[in-house]
Amino acid sequence: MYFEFLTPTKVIAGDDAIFKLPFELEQAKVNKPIILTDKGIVGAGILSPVELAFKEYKFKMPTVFDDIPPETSVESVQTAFKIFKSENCDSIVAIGGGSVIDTAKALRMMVAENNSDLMSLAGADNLSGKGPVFIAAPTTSGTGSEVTSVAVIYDSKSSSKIAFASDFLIPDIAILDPVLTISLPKKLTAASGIDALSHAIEAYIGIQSNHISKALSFKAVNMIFNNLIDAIANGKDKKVRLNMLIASTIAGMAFSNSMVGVVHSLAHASGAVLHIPHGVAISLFLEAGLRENFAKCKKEYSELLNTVKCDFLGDKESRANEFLKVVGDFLKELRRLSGIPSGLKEVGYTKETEKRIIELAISDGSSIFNKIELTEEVARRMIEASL
Amino acid sequence: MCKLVKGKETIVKMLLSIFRKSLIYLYKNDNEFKSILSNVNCGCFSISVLKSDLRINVVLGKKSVYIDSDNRRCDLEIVFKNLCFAFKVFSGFISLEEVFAYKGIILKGSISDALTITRAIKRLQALIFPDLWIGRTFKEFTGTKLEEKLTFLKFYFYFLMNARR
Ligand SMILES: [Fe+2]
Repeated sequence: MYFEFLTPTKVIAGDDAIFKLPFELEQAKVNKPIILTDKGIVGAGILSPVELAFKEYKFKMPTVFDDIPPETSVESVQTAFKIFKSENCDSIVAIGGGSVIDTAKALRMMVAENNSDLMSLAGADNLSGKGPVFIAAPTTSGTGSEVTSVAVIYDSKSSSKIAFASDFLIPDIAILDPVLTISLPKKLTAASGIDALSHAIEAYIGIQSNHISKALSFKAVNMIFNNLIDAIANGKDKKVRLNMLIASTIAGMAFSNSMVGVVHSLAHASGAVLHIPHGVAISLFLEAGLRENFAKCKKEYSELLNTVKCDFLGDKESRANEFLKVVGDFLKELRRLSGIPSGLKEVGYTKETEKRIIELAISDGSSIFNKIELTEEVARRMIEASL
Repeated sequence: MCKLVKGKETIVKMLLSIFRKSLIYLYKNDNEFKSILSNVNCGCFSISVLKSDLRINVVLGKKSVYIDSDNRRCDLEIVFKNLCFAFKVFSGFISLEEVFAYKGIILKGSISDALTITRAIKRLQALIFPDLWIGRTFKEFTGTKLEEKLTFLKFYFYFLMNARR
């Protein structure tokens, strides 16, 4: 056995946690942050408590860059880099979902390396330093990006998602304030919650799973099963929203170290081809991916059953089967409550798109960490099971 | 295991030269190997070990590969973080994929291209190492056809003989 484990992020969680932001910036001895966010967040008034926090702390309201699309691109990062430079910024604050936080990570990389050619920085563990102070406050409960070492950026030239991985990408501070997720619509709540669930499960069953990450995955799965349905049905409940934020962060810590697997490979590929949100893509492939892994992950599934149904008695095989059934039923209920798509055919899949999805999936980095080999055949079976 | 082996640098150097010859041969003669590498988007990749002068640059051409060991910049650079990881891969103890998972590699360039190269190297490992050995190393391994292995070995020795002259 060999593993490495790192979670250096300071987590500030709870009601009004966002009001701690200016203090933390001051502590870090920076005074010119750039705030990265998106137009949806600004439009929904989610930035208001942030503005209030700066005002009350008598901290000059920072430059805001909100032109980040739901699927961030090389172009968005380059624009953010130009603004960072022209405004002489010294730190980065990301307030948003995965796309915004990934943009911030890419920006941090470019600043650290003083290199505007993002693609030349692609790779793993290839950065020379950490870059500016970086604080992330997620507005969805799913990506876990506020504590992870990976970023995915869409490259329109190659029509594919480019992955970056480095310990230097991990934010210094994560602020988990339920006020930032309270207005999240049902569909987004469900899709991002399922993404978090997949992080926790795939990190648990992958080849880099270890005792530390397993403990985190275990807790995250338990919290997601206990809170996600409530978060959809009763979105204004701050306690439930905070629990989902925490669960997603814990799952992020697990998968930043143990990584994900074939579910993510297929989701990244179909996301790039069909342009569907990451969480939706994950929701479509989660069950199929877990089934493909069944033969090699019975022990892990049987253990995970304890997070949701600890009184189920049976041998390893039947407990593993029961876990898959519980996950399947959970997904069905989430689809019913939120209205997220239940099959690939609903999101633009055609036989013509299949070839490209498979091509991209089998060359996606996540499959490295999966116990079974992601062959064309496995990818095709997963697609067929998710139609 | 790694700490028991003395003179790893010399052993890896030797294994790397076997890899180099195998790579040239397979690119010419093994359709599967060539078809895997045809999915790589970069024209040149390098494999090296940090803090050592062990390095190969593989330039992919239409019909053959060109390999050297100078310090040219390749589109994709796979750098082992220490000699131990390199030793384990080149001696077939673990796959390159596994070293990625262990964070034992610095990768400059496209992760998906690197994944394709790990597949190609897996194919190479499957042919040059005994099935029993490799079956333990790979996630899934159904075995190599005997004729594939024999043909490979025949040409492999031919290369060795040529190298001696
Ligand atoms: Fe994800």
